[in-house]
Amino acid sequence: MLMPKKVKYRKQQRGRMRGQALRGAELAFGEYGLQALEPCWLTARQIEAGRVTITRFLKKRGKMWVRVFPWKPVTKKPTETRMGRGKGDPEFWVDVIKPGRIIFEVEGVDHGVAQEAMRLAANKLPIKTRFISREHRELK
Amino acid sequence: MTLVIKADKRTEKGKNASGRLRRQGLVPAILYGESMDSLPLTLKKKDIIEILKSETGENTIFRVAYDSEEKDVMIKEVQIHPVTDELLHVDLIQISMDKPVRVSVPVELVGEPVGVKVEGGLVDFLLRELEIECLPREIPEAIRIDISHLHLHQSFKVMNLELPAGIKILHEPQTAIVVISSIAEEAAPATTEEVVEGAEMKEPEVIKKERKKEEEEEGETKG
Repeated sequence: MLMPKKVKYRKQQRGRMRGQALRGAELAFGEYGLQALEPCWLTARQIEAGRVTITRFLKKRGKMWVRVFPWKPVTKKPTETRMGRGKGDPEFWVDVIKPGRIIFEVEGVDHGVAQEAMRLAANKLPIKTRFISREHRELK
Repeated sequence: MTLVIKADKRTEKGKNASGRLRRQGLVPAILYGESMDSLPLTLKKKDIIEILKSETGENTIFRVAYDSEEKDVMIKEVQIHPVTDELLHVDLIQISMDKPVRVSVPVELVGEPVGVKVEGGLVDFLLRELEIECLPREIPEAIRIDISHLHLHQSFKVMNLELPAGIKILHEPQTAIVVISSIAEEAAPATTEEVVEGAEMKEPEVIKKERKKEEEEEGETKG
């Protein structure tokens, strides 16, 4: 599962998820991508599930990129523990996703194949997403 | 004939005023250049979208008319809302037609490489836009590269480009634009990581603790 190799602090505060993605909102590598439309904490398991789905669907055609990384630890207190006695232990890792963030990118396959791969990956994610490509960007 | 776009000087600034403009189908813009102070403007959103959709795109040279003045300008930067794709703001830069400008031009690939057709490779498009320096009139719409001769593991580098005189490339000559990579290499790490899925999660190293330990050890040795 994805997680950092080294961290400066074991535990982090939760923070807020206001606003849109400032960075990572443009296609950087591939021709097609999956863009988040809602904010969320994307767990390492969800990222991995999406990645595996795309890799299996592409069947060694094309190339894919994962543009997110779970750098944020989430702590949890053990069940049936009384309150107090400090913050719990890190339980899993997440990436803070804001609307507009590109999660996966794909290249080397046709539009239809990429769209289907992204649809399958989107099913593994907890948020609304949209398929984007470099060709079609309808400015409003 | 160069396109002329009408603009108005913008006196109201800030988030709320810009929001009001956007709701009226206008877009806040700023014009700046070498021999002038920056000037906030208001443009029609429709005009800018038309320019961006044209073949020359962001590198289109047009004239912007405000009050009784007209200036040759280019789009320097466009801010687009990441989710709604709404045009939020435009940066215009004043240009003089006899001075070279630095622009990025899209790269277009022509032909299907041998490495893909016969050898089962994959086109890895590394550099989709090239930074060039040339006179405004000489800015090409796109730089077309014929990659049909490329075999597997071969690349097309900046030094292989044949450009018309007057266009200077600002990249290192060794920079690769396109590489034909093998699909097997690309897909290899995916299978190895799947095995790790079930493995127990270990905690990562904490950098601070490490330093403390080192300091302690140093202290012990000194003592």
